[in-house]
This record gives sequence, C-alpha cells and structure tokens, in this order.
Amino acid sequence: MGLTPEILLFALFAVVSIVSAILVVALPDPVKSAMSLIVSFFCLACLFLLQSAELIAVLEVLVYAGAIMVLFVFVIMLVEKRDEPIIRPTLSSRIALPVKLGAVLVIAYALVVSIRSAPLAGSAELPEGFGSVTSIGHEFFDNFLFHFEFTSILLLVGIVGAVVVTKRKKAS
Amino acid sequence: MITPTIPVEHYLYLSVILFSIGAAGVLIRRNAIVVFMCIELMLNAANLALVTFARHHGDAAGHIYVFLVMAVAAAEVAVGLAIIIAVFRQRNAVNVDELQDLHG
Repeated sequence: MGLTPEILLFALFAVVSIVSAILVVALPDPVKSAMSLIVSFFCLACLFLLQSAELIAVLEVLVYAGAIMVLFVFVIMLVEKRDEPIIRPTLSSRIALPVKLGAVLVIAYALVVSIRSAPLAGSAELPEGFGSVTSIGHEFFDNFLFHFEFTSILLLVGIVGAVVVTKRKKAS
Repeated sequence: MITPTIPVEHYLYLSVILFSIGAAGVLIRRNAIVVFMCIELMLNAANLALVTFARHHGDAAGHIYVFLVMAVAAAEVAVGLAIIIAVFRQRNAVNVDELQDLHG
C-alpha cells in the first residue's frame, strides 16, 4: 500500500480535525471554540467524501457548519460575559480533573482494544451510485418512511419547544 | 467506482479519538455553551463511525442513520440553547458550577 492521494488526504483531514477538536476544548474564548469546531466539521465532511458519502458530506456543511454553528455563535453573542475567568480552580476541581480525564482515557483505551480484538474483514463492493441523493432517497422512501416522517414531527417539536422556553413571561 | 484503500480501522480510531476529546471537553469545561459544542463533536464522531460502517458493508442504511442523527442534533441544539438563554436571563450565568439548584 503506497502513498496514494487518498491516504495523504485522509492523514491531512484526520490530523486537522483532531487538532481543531482539541482547540475546541482548550481555547478559553467560546467564539474561538466555535470557529475551530467549524474547521473540524469541514474536515469531517471531507472524510465523508473520501468514503463516497456525498449527500452526507453536503449535509454536514449545510446543517452543522452552517445552521447549527450560526445558532451557537448567536447565543454566544447574546449570553457571553467576556471578562470573567473561564475555569475557576477550586480544590475539588483540582482533584476531580485528573480523575475525569483518567476515566475518559480508560474508556477510549477500552474502545480501541475492542476494535483491535475483532479484526474486520475486507470491505464490501460498493453498489453503483452509493451515497448519492438517488440511492439515499430510495432507501428512505422504500425502507425508512416512518423514520423520515417522524423526523418532521421531531423538528416541529424542537421549534415549538425553543419558542416556548425562551418566551418572556408577562409581568404579573 | 473508487475502491477504498484505507482500512476501516483507521476511520474507527479517528472516531474514537474525536469522541474522547468531546467527552473530555464535556467533563472539563464549565461553560455550558462549550459543553454543548463538545456534545456536537461527540455526535459527529459517532456519525463518522456510521458512515464508515455504511461504506464497509456497502449499505446505505448507515447514511439514513446519520441523517436522523443530524435531525435530532438540530432539534436538540435549538431546545438546548433556548434553555441556556432562559437560564441566563434568570441567573445571569452560563457557568455550570454556578447552577447547582438541580442537585438531587
């Protein structure tokens, strides 16, 4: 297996997505966190393209990097108080942090080991038009019609819920 | 037709790493908005695994699941950020350490 363009692209996007994901956690300013999260989403969209999931890659950029992150940035602007320390170290948090980090690492290690212990067979041949709008549309309306329709109800509930929660109560 | 040359495991490793970073962020950060962003990161790591398995099996059902996860994430973000704004109006705080009234 030589250095094909696919491997180079995978390495590039994997490294950039990991670095920007770490920046999301590490940067103190929420706006900068949001920006690096957008970079991470773009890299993930490119990785989806590498796996010939075209529609999903487009949706990733449109829905996540577009709609959801705009919502995030708006809320940051509405809510954020800039001049306060982000992490206030107390004694309990100083002890809790290494414990939490250790727990996360143990879980990650267990996941990696469980992947290792079950080697996967070679990938299947991809059918013609895999990942295109046509194939996903057929899949939706042939096999997942109920899920598709239920998604619309879910989004409606989301809209109504957001409006109800943020509505100001009349002064009584 | 492209024959994929990268082993499935590499994508899964990347997915695990991104999920762990997101989980660490949820545990470490105290700003509710950044915690929310880390949850989005974890959802995307799961999406990457789903797309990888869809390619592995040559089955478009994995893409359907990713689509549904995105719809759930959109609804969840709308309601969650609305809750954050409502709490901020009442308490003037987004730091989750200052919001301890819901302790059991």
